[in-house]
Amino acid sequence: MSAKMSTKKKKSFTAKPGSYTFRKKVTPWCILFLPMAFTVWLKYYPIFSAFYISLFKYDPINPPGRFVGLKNYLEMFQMQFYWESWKNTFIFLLLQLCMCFFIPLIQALLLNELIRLQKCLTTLYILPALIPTSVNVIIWRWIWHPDYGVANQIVKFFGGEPQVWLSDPDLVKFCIIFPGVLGGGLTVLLYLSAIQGVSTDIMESAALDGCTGFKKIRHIILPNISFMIFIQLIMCVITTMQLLDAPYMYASGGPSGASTTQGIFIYNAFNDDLNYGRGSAASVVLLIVIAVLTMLQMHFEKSEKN
Amino acid sequence: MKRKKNRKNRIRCGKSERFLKIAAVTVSLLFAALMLYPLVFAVSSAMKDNSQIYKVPPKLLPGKANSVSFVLDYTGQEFQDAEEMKDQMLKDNVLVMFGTNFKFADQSIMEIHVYGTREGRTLFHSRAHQMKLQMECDYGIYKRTAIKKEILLHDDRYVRACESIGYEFDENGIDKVPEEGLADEFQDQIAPVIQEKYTTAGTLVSIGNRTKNLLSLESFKYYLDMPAYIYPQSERVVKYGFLTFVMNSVIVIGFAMIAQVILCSVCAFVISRQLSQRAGKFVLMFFLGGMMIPFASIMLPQLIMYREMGAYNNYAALLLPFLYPYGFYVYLYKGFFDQIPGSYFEAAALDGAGSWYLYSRICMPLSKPIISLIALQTFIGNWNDFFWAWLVTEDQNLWTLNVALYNISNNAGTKQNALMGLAVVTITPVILLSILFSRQLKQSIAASGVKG
Repeated sequence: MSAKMSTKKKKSFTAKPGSYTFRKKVTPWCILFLPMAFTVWLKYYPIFSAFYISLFKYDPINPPGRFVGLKNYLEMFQMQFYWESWKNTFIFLLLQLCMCFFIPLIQALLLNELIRLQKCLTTLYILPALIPTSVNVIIWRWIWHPDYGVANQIVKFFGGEPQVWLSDPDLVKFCIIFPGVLGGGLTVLLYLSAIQGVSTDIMESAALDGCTGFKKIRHIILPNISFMIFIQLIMCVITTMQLLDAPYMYASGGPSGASTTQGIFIYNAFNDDLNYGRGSAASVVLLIVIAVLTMLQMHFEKSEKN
Repeated sequence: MKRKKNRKNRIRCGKSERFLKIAAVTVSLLFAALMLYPLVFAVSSAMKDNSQIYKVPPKLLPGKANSVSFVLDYTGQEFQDAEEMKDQMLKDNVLVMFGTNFKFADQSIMEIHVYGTREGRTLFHSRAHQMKLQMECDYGIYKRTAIKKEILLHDDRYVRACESIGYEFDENGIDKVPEEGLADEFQDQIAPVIQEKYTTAGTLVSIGNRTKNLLSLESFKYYLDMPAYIYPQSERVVKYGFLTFVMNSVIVIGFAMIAQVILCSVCAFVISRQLSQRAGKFVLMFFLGGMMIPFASIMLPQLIMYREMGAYNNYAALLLPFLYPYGFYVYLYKGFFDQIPGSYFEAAALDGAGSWYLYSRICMPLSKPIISLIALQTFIGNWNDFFWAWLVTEDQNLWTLNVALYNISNNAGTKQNALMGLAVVTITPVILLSILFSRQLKQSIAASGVKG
């Protein structure tokens, strides 16, 4: 096969311009040229641009300004605020994993047991996932409202102290992540289709051996969809690392920087401090972290395939 | 099938299985109720009036809505001409409406009718919804003013207010009669205030009220107009209100859907049908890599780049980011195209069909299911986009729904019921559509997961 291919290739290289083989080889690349050029322009070029800017004390009026080498990075690594934003990101991640990651799995496992309700409940589960963050922010900011909100009423009902929720640096992360508990509908569907993809042979033989109920979930279903769970875990980590919209819209990164994630740090660096160099440096570091995670994901996906 | 399963359960291990079933039903329903709660809460808050929304503890359902009719009588009063009479009635109308709305804000008076009568004929009628009055007080003609008689009638303000509210006047009488058989709950409360603080020229004959809960639904109409009041500097927003933002979102998402459906299919067609396997894999990885670059890390250089190109604060800035093929969609397309039998293409190619013919006449007509899937995926993936649109737009007439909602919700004066109303307006079509197309939606989401 490979020998065949290589001879073909040689032929294509020797083909004269204008000949049929030449046209056949060149046309696809001509068609692909535009989309690829746009991808380079819109997606790949900004990465290099970010790295380039991060080496300068960037001057937006006379770009690129003074060359400072890696000084932006060194300065940034000495900023307490930078490490705090990493800490915030990781706390967000932890909360996300504790609160939001397992719930879709549980929902899917339970939905799988239902017969008649399944169809309408899955539809219902998708709905909150389709609500955009801006709408969620409006609804939940009112729920968390210290004076008029439902949250404080519930706390009071159970005899607790009313909280200020989104204005409390300790609670703000919880308040931002919590709405996500109800919004995992798309993941539920992914899990559900994975569960239903488990071969019926396995299920039936398990049932014959007396493995039903919770035992079936533990010993049959979970091991069979473990790959899916793992992929979702990495996806969850990657998306939470990039968390930007929700903390920004709920609390603009506050109070006192308690919800400043990496994304908001970058935004603040160029919007408030007008320090483009530092913003780009943070961008590059974030990119590297996410790239490593993505590669990890792809590595595992590949190994699963084999 | 089901009966078979049941019988099986009855024979062995029924207990564990049944326990799981019961747990599944209860927990799932509980989750469903929890998920519905914010939606129900939003709808009910949107239907509350300006005072109910601030009631503690918050109620789940909106209270009743009152419609109040004032009848003012001008019999026996001397007017030089019809103009003067009309002027007097307009003044009284403004006094009654804004005075009542301001002083009795906590009475859920959602609608106020004012009738002017003279010698048994109705000459004047005006009708205002609470939200309309409130918007004039918050953002409109009486912005940042105290609601006092002198201020209400200052200059030509009352004329503009009446014009904005709408009224009917004819010196020979109009065919509207004050409603009969109304309750008079508010008579004792409101009459003294109107007579003392907002003294009208006409004599206050009666104040009738009735419950009209449909008025809460009418509030939505005014919520949609609210952006026009908040952002009077933007021409398009003033003209179309909230629909401006809806249109912008439709333009952006529509463009994204069309661009992705076409671009990705072309790329996938070439990769699947015209390239060798190795080259195809390389190109696919190239596109997938482009998609995986996190937005947060290229946000800044992207913004600088777009600004230099002049794509800032215009539609180009909003639409350009969708002009490259998303790797994942190319991947989905490719998986589909790979399964189309190659003989179709060979046969057409033998008859002399070029690449374009193969793509447009053979490949695309066969791929309707995947096209709808990609369109849906694009919608789900980009409908939530906020930050980029927020970065590159300054003018209100460019805001997409998300940006607009965020900005309006950050506007200190905006009342929560109006915000909730706009939120409900935003999500209702999406929810209805997703219920309607739930089957396709589920398939599309499930397909997006099978990517290993």
